[in-house]
Amino acid sequence: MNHETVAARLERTKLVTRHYHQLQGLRQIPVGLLFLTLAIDRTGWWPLFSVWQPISGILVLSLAIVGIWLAGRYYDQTIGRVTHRSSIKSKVVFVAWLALFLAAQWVEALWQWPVSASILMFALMYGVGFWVTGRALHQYLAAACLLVIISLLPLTGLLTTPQLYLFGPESAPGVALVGLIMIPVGLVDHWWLIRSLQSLREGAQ
Amino acid sequence: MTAAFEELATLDKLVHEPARLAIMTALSACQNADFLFLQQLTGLTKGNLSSHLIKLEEASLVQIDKQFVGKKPNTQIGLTEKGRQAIDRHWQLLENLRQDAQKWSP
Repeated sequence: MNHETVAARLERTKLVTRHYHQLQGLRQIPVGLLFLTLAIDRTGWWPLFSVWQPISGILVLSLAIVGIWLAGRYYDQTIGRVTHRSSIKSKVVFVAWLALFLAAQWVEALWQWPVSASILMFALMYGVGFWVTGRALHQYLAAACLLVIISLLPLTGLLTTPQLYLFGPESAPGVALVGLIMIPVGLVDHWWLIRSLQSLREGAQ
Repeated sequence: MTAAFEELATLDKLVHEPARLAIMTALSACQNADFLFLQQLTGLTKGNLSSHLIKLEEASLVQIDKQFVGKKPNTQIGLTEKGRQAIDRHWQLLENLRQDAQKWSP
C-alpha cells in the first residue's frame, strides 16, 4: 500500500470519527417524517390530526423523539460511541444559525418577499454542514443547492412565498419539500458512514 | 536526503504500526471513543485490538476507562496529552518525509 493510500485512509478515519454524530443519518429520518406529517396536516388531508389537537401534535412529536432516540441507540449498539470535546465554535455556529432562522421567520411574517428566507435558512444549514465536514460530504452541497432553487420558486410563479413560509397556514408545500430533502440526505449520510467503515476495515486487512 | 533518513529513523515504531496509527488517528479526532467503535473502524478482532491498546496504555499514550452504561460494561479510550503530542509529531514527521520524497530525482 503506497503512502498516498495510507494517508487517504487515515484522513477518512479522522473524518468518520470527527463527524460521527452528523453521519448518524437514520436520526434525521424521524425529523423528515415529522415535517411530512405537518405538511399533511396543513393540507387538511388528515382531519383527525386537527380535531384531536393538541394530543395528536404531542403524539407525533413524541413519536419523532422516540424515533431519534431509537436510531441513536442503534448506532451506539452496532457501531459504538464517540465523545467529542465541547467546541465553542460549533455552539456559536448553531446559535447564530438559530438566530438567523428565527429572524427570517419574523421578517417573513411581516413582509412577503419574492424569495423564501425560511427555505434559504435550511440551505444555509446544509451549506455550513458541507463546509465544516471538510467539503467531503456532497449530499449536503446537493441539499443546499436544491433548497436554494426551491427558495427561488416564488420568482417563477410555481409556488408563492406563503406556501414556503414554514409557520404559515398555507405552508404544506414548503414543509413537505424540507422533509422530502431531509430523508434522502439522512439515508445518504447513513450509507456513507457504513460504506466508509467497510472500506476502512477492508483496507486494514 | 540524509536528513530524510535521519527523520525516518526517528519515527516512533510504537505509533507507526498501521493498526496503532489508525487507532491513534481516530482518537486524535475526538475526546474518547469506545472499544466497539475502534473495532468497527479498524476491523481488528477483540483480542488484537485489546493487545494494541494495552501496548499504547503501557506507553502512557492512551487512557482506558471501564464503566457501565446501564447494565452493560463499556470501555472508553482516549488519548493522553503525551499521546496527542506523539500523534501530532508523527503526522508532522510523515508530512516532512512526504515533502522530502517529492524532491528526490530518480
